[in-house]
Amino acid sequence: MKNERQRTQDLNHLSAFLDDSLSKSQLEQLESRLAQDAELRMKLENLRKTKIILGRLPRLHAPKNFTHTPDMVTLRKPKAHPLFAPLQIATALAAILLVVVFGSELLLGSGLLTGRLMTEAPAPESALALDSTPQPLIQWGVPDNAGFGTGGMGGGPQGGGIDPYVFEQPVEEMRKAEESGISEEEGMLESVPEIEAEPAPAMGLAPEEPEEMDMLSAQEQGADSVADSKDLILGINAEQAGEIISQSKPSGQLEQPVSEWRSMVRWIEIILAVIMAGGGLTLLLLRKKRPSS
Amino acid sequence: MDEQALIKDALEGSLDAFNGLVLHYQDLAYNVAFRIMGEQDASSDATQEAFISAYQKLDQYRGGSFKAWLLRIVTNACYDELRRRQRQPVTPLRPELDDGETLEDPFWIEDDAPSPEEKSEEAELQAAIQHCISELDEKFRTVLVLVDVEGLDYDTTCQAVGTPLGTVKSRLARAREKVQECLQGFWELLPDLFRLNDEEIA
Repeated sequence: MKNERQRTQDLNHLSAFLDDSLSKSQLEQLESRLAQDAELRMKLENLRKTKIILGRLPRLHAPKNFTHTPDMVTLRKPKAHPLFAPLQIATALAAILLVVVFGSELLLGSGLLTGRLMTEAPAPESALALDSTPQPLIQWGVPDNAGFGTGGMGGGPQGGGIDPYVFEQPVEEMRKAEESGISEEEGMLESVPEIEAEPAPAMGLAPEEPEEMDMLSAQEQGADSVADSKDLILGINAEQAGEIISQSKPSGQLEQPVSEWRSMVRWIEIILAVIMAGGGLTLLLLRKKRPSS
Repeated sequence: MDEQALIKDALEGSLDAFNGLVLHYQDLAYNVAFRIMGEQDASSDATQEAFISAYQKLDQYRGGSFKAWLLRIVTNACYDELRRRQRQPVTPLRPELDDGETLEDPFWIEDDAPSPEEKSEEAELQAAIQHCISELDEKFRTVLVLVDVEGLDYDTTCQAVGTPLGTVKSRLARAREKVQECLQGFWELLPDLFRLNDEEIA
């Protein structure tokens, strides 16, 4: 076993010696052994002759040209820019998403969205409908609440406005006017300066229909006993006087989510369109840069 | 020839540039194929396959020695061709007679070329060497052909066969020894200068 291993190692070293690929130490070791071992020298000589004989084999010429013609091979596509494939994918995805968003917007905008609003809308629509009828606004003795008015639809209070729908004259003033024998119109006219004298008068008093006033005063008179005992005014605790009570949400709160949704969709559409257009242009430029074969 | 420029142009799709590389390397590729396969037609087929494959795989070339990269494709094509021929051995062309017997050496396949006995000593020697090379195992044969026949250095050979230097060295040593032993059977063909030692023969 050892002899076989030694023989193989000798063979490897002799072969490497022929190609000058032995390390310095290996070379020195082999040269010392060659100087002493005739059989090893003969072996080396035979290997050298073999190598020379093999090297004497003639160089053959190719029997034909192996050049390619276009019909022999599928012509290589020019090497694409490294960004080409990612850009292609991104542009295609942007285009698909844009179509999906457009489609969704159309569907939701025309059918689904309106359907959703209609199902969710009873409260809002009724609130909108209430806009055309007197609001259940009650303002009792609030001297500094001068700016209320047509503040709907998210708008701020607009001073000096008169609520076109709701007007309730303070009962006390009306009662005083009746008691003093002044006609309703006169009493109202008299009350105007008082209101205007306030730091921030609530509003000018809109002319009230006499019948309504009569009914109101009659109701007031009939309910006086109850109201006085419980400090309730029109079923509302007197402590709550001056609060604006609305049973319906402002219409702005309803439209806000829809408008936010629409603006978000717009932004998405814009971003996708920019990606698609930019990607397409870049791809076009990259394609033009590729040399033709 | 500006090899790198041709490779670059070929990578960009220029068939003319690749054909320039083919013309430069086709003799080497064919020689290697012939020494590995020992047959002209098979070598020609393998070389053609190798160049087509090289053209298709050109984008896998990662720099370095193009010769080594190409020779690796050539040797692989030779191995594939050899295996294919082993699976589908060539049937001798012997026409059948009416009674089903095959006709030996029909006139239309008679070889007018000189017989081996008529060939020159040089041709006989070449045939003997080729025979000894063909007797080697594929892996030993390839290393021997690349280093001793084609004269490639170790680095290029390592890249061409895809094996470490130590493996190449040991395969080469073993192959040389095998060929030497084989050539002893043809010692009378060898020129006096190259006759092996009698002691070794004994």
